[in-house]
Parts: sequence; C-alpha cells; structure tokens
Amino acid sequence: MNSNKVGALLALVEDPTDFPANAPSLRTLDAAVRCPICSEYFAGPVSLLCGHCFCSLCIRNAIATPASKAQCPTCRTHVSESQLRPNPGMEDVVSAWKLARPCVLGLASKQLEEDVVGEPAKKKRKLDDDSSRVAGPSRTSSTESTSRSDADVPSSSAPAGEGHVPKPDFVVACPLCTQSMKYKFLEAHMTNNCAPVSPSKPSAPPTSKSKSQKNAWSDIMAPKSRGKDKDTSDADHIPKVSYDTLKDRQLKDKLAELGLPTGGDRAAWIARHQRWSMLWNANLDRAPAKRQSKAELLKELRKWEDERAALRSKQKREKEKEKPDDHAHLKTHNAEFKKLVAAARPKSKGGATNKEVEVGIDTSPPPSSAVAPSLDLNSEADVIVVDSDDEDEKGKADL
Amino acid sequence: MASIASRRLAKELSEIKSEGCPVGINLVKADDFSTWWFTIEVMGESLYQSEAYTLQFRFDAQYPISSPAVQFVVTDGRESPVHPHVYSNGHICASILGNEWSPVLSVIAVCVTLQSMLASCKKKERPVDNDRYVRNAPDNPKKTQFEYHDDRV
Repeated sequence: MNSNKVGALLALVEDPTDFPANAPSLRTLDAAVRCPICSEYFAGPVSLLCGHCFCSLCIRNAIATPASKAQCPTCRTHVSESQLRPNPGMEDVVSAWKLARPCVLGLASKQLEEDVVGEPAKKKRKLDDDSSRVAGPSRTSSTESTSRSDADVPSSSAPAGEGHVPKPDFVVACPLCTQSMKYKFLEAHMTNNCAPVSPSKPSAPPTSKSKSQKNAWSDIMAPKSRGKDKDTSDADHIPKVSYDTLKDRQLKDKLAELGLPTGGDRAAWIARHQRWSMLWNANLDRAPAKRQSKAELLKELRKWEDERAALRSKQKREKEKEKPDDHAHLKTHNAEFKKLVAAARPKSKGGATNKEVEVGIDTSPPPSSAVAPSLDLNSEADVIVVDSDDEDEKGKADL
Repeated sequence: MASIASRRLAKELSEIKSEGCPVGINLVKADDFSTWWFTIEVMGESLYQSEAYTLQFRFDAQYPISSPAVQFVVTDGRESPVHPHVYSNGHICASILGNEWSPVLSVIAVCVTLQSMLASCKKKERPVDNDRYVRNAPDNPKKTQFEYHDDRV
C-alpha cells in the first residue's frame, strides 16, 4: 500500500528527469529554476547577500528553525531575514519556463523518438511543425497567447518565430499573469512587473511624451510610487517582534490587529504570529499578480496549525510509549549489576554485607541503581556497607 | 499527503531511479517516505576495500529543513564499519548529520560524504568512547549531542 503511494507520487511529481537523459542541458535548465530546498519551482524567489536564491517561504523557514544557524544553506555565509531581496528576474524566468515546459518537453521526447527511428535530416523541420500541436493542451486559455509562447520556444532551434508575432492591436493574454491586453502594451506591462492595465486607458509607458516626463519628475519628487497605490495600505512586511517583551494582552492585541484567531495559550499565540509573519512576508515577495489573498493565507495558517497539533499529539503518544519501564530496566541490566557486585565483593568482608548490597540494588529505582554499581567499584569496600536507603540517597546526590 | 517533505523525497527518488547512484552506492529499498536503505562501498585503494555497508535514512515531516537520521544498519547480519567516527551500534559522528546539516544537501550527498569519510580513514578503530556510548545510546542518533572535534575528515 505504501509503495503504491510512493509510485503514485513519483508519477505525479514533475522533476528534471521528465526530460530525456540525452538532453542533460534541459535537465540542468529545469533544475536551475527550482529552489534547492523544496525542489519546486521558485515561489516568490528571494536572493541573499551572497547571491543564492531560494523560495521566500523556504528560506524564512530555514532561518527561523532554531537548529540551523542563520546562514545561507548553500554557502553558509551569515544571513538575516532583513537581507532577503525579492528576485523578480528569476520569477519571470520561472513563469516563462512553466509556460514553455510542456512544449519543450514535447519537442524533446519527439526528438528522442525520431533519433531512435533515425532520420536526423528532417528533424528540424518536423519539430517546428509539431510545436503548435504539442502545445495544444498547455494551460493558457487564449489561443493567441499559446501561439505566442510557441513562437518563442522553438525560435532557438530554427527561425520559425517571425510568422507568429501578433499584430500590435491584437488582444493577447500576458504569459505571466494571464491578464488580457493589446499586444503593443504587453512588453511594457511585463517590464513593469505585470502592473495592472485598465481597459480604457492602457498603462503608463506608451502615453504622450510630455506627460510621461512630468510623471517621471513627480515620481521622483513625490514618493507616491505605483507600488503604494496598487497594493493596499496593509501590504507592508510584518516587522520582527520580540515576544518576550510583550505581555499576554499585547500579544493578543497584535493577533487581533492582524485578524488572526486568538485561541490557545501564549506559546500558541507566538507560534501563530511567527508563522503568519512568515507566510505574509513571503507572499509579499511575489509579484503582485501572483500573490495569494488573505483568505488563502489564513487557510494555509489553519492547515499548518492542524498539522502541527497532529504531530504534537503523535509525539506525545510516542514519548509515553518510550517512557522507561523501571522493572524492565532492572531486568535487562541485571547481569551487569551482578557482575559489578561480584567485582566489588572480594573487597567486602562477610556474606551478610554482600547480601545487603544486593538488596540495595534490587530495590532501588533505575536511575540510582545505574549509579550504584559504579559507586561500588570506586568507593572503598567499607563505604558500600550501607543499607538500601542510604545508597539511594547517595545515588541521587551523584545525579 | 503530498507534503513538502514527501514531494522533495519523491524528486530525489526519481532522480536516483533515472540517473542512478554514484559509483559504489546502491539503493536497497525506498518503499515509503520514512525509511530508505542504501549500500555503500568504498572504491579504489582503502582500508575498506570490497566491504559493503548498509546505511539507513529516516526522515521526519520537517525534512529537508531538519536533517535525516542516518546510521549504519547493524541487524540482519549487517555490520557497521570499524572507523574512528562510527560506533558499533551504527551511529555516526559526522557534523553534516547534526549541526552542519543544510537543507540543500540530499540523500545522495550524504551517502557520498560518508563514502569519502570511510575512504580517507587511516586506521581501523572504534571511537575511544564506543562502549560507554553504545551502552546508553538513544534509538535515534539525532537525539545524541555529538561533539565534532576532528575536522580532517
């Protein structure tokens, strides 16, 4: 049953080995746009000071884990959460690759087939002809955008792309955020990080020159910034909180302020606030069009808390099972105790004493009994001649 | 079900299955996402020539943020290699399994590291505190606080 699950997941999960082994460069490419921590495509990629790139949530998680020191998982240079910088370039690459992947995958496996059949001469032509068919079931809804992404992809292998470029007034969907717009605005829209385009008056860049110059100045002088009026006012990173300085009341207020549930105890509040900050801040590292809504984030938080609770109760149960059984401990180590007692015996004087020592070991609980035999060895024979109560105390003192 | 841990492990497994393991390392079993077994063998000139050892990986739900529990298998007639950093119960004292674990490391990376740890061994001997440790060792090596003092290997 378990192995079925493994097989199912193996078939389901996309990974670089989907590409044929004779196309190692494609495997490398696919691996290069994946987060080294989760092996998924970068979600809200951020760069560290050292330049290494991870999913925002992954690296925040890795840094926050107390066991790991605050260092880059790849090169171990020191990092802190405030140094994370979104990497929109990588994000664009990921979105583009996600679109192109099914098509490239189709091409690569097609090529593999043909290589097996063995007609290398016609290969190139055929690849291009097939491209539109292969990309048919890809995920974009609008046909225009499909043909566009097709045109992009095979152009590296042959100059087939030119014929596919849509007319400037053609309405196309942005390959990044799937918003529809006229083709002539697409490039500006994409370079603007998928800034929303209102259908009546298209976005800033292609407007009249004098106006754009004015805008440019006012942009510099007055920091109203397009980021601000687009994101709502609460779209700011949640700053780090030193929980120890907060009273219960203040902590609760903080949660309420963020619109989070306030159930549970203080530890639960702190954990919830930490996790929420992590989810929230990671979400902000994505391009605006790819961000999740607050409701989705709340759902994710709930899921995390449920999983955590389940894990906790499971660990608790296991711990109880693992609890040392005093009698079993005595039994398993009985031979050892006997040996130690025997080693101590020649030093002691009479049979009566021996008996007492043995009694002492048999009745004392395991923690002290574990120490007692070593006492026997190290201390003078005379000291051993104690009755079981004294021995108990001695053991505890040593512990 | 498809948590981050199992998705990541699925990817590692599919890479192992499609590209194979490095020389001297073989997958024994990976029937689920909690325990995997590998055999490792040191290639070339070394003290462990033509000896194969079995490594066990155990993963928790926090993998790869938390390290896997790695040890040599010492049941079913399998033995742990005699090495200054390997205890006779199979536990391994290696910093990358403890405080120097990094989530970018993978199962194969750990195998290769341990392989080279064996390869660079100069003298076959047990750790000095072997008996003392083995007597009281916890079931899971991750619960042991190892002290890493030897940076030569």
